[in-house]
Amino acid sequence: MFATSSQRKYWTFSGETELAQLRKEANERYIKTHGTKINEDSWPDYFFTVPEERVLCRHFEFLLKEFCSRFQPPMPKYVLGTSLCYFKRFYVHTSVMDYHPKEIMLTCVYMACKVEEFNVSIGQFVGNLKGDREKFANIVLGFELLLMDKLHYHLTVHNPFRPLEGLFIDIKTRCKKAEDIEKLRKDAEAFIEKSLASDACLVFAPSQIALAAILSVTSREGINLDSYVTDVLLEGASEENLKNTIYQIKRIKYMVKAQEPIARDQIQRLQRKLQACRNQDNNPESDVYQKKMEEMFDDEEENRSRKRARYEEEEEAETRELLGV
Amino acid sequence: MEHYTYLGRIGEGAHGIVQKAKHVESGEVVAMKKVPLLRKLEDGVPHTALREIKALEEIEDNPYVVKLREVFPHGSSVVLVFEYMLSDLSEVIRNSEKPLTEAQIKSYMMMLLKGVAFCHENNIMHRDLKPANLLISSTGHLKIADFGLARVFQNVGDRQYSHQVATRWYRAPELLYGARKYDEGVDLWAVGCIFGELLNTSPLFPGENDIEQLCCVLRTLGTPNEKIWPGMSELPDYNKITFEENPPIPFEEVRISAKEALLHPYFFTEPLPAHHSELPIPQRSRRGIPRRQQTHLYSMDTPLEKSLIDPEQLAPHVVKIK
Repeated sequence: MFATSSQRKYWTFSGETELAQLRKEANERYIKTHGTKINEDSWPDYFFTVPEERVLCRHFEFLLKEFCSRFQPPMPKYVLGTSLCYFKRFYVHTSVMDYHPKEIMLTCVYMACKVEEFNVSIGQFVGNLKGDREKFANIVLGFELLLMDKLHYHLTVHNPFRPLEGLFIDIKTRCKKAEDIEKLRKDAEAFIEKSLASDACLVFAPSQIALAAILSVTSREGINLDSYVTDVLLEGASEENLKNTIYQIKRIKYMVKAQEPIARDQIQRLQRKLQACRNQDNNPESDVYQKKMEEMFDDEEENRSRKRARYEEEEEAETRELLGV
Repeated sequence: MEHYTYLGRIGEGAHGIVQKAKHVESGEVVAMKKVPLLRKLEDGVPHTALREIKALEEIEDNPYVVKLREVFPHGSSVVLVFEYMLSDLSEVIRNSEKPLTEAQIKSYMMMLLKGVAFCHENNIMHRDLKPANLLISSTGHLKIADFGLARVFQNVGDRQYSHQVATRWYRAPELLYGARKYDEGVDLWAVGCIFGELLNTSPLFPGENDIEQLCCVLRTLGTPNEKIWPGMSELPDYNKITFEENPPIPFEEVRISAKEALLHPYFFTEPLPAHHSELPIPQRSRRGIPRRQQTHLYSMDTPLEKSLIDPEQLAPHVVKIK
């Protein structure tokens, strides 16, 4: 139920302004902790600005979508929706410089597959990638716990695909003049897919996004559903409630349609810049990270027995010395 | 982890060790389920842990569902922190000195159904209800636990589910016939089995294997047919096996929802469900936590004077107030 969900309680923000503020804070936090050795004047050259972070994030959201659409076996749409939602939530409170979006992106998709019960093994999963698959598997499994923690263990995501289905059924049964709404399904789904590239899932209820999708495609076809919305769908709602819904739908339509294209000419430069300013502690290629992982995966039991063995050896050596053997 | 002091081991679950610990700040005693991550190149955080987190993070507090207090990573494990519960219903059934009274059984059933109704209202199928997963608090309350098989269900669409769920004795016949599309009714079947177990103090359908399980059910309830169970012949494993025909046993009602069950006259007729203070609170002796020996043992035969303090001895320490 969305009304009582963690999505609504913790991951629905008031709008772009609030999101921009939180992202700015994450950016500043990172620069403050990692900028101590660098002259403050060269911060803008060395570190990412907030808009630069956004460009790279959106680029990787695009790659995520591409990865999911080519995934074998074919992946249901809601897995993509959940993955993107995880990715967006992750970078609300965390800077791109702290964790590389490439690694987080893969981890988000893998986690979404599991949570949405689209069961693929890690082997199958990395089979969809080119290159060193074992390395990718280690990266994904290494970041899984971190991702869960950053998502505050709120793993359930409500996607707009289900409410869209519900609206289709409702319109077919309760709205005579749009009985053949089915033929607009593709367009409505395309609207939702486009919404996934925006921040809509961080601001609006999934059912509102679905309704915006329907209203957007029907109005394009010249079908007026106003009376269906006011008299049937929201029957009995207060004037204020009605006004608010209409306002939210407008905001969604605007947010989805007014997306700027990703500045592709900047990507290469930004990727290079990220190599320098990223947090090496969280870079799977770095020694620091590898050591950290080794420690993590070293079973505590194993550690203990190794320690015990070492102590025993030392003790034995001491006794030997004592006895002069 | 530093917020907790370790108190002892409670047991080992299907996916990890369960420990008893105390939250330092609040002093509350908790049960910590430590789920180790599978080793490299296996699949990482196990599904069971994810399902449990996913289901329990979404629901608000309910007195009949065990509370997940928090989750945190610890080394290569995920730690799930639950409220500490003294025992479980299987122990109550096994260890009760006296058989449970009807009022007590009603009380358990009512709490169980309230918990199940709450889960279903929140679109969660538990899929593994059994006495061992129904925990008993120190106040006698019953709470549903172990959501490792729980699924958030959707009534639209045609998602398929695994039929290899639920512990065999509590597995609904549609699952035994291999159904891949089923609903929250599977939980109600289990509730019925638990009800029977409470009344009989032994499992209702203790099948030794899946085939015998089905046979067990049919022996008691009669062989179903397409008329009383529409669609049964289309279930995947329907034709794989047939049993000796058992005479159908007239059955008053079809499987109802948990919410409807709570309105059944059973709960409103004498004897009424017992108050939770009238329920047995078993000790967790079997699970290996040695109970603290009582420091003073009083024998009935010792003269009373011996256990009293001699006022003469106390006299020098008494400060007189003028």
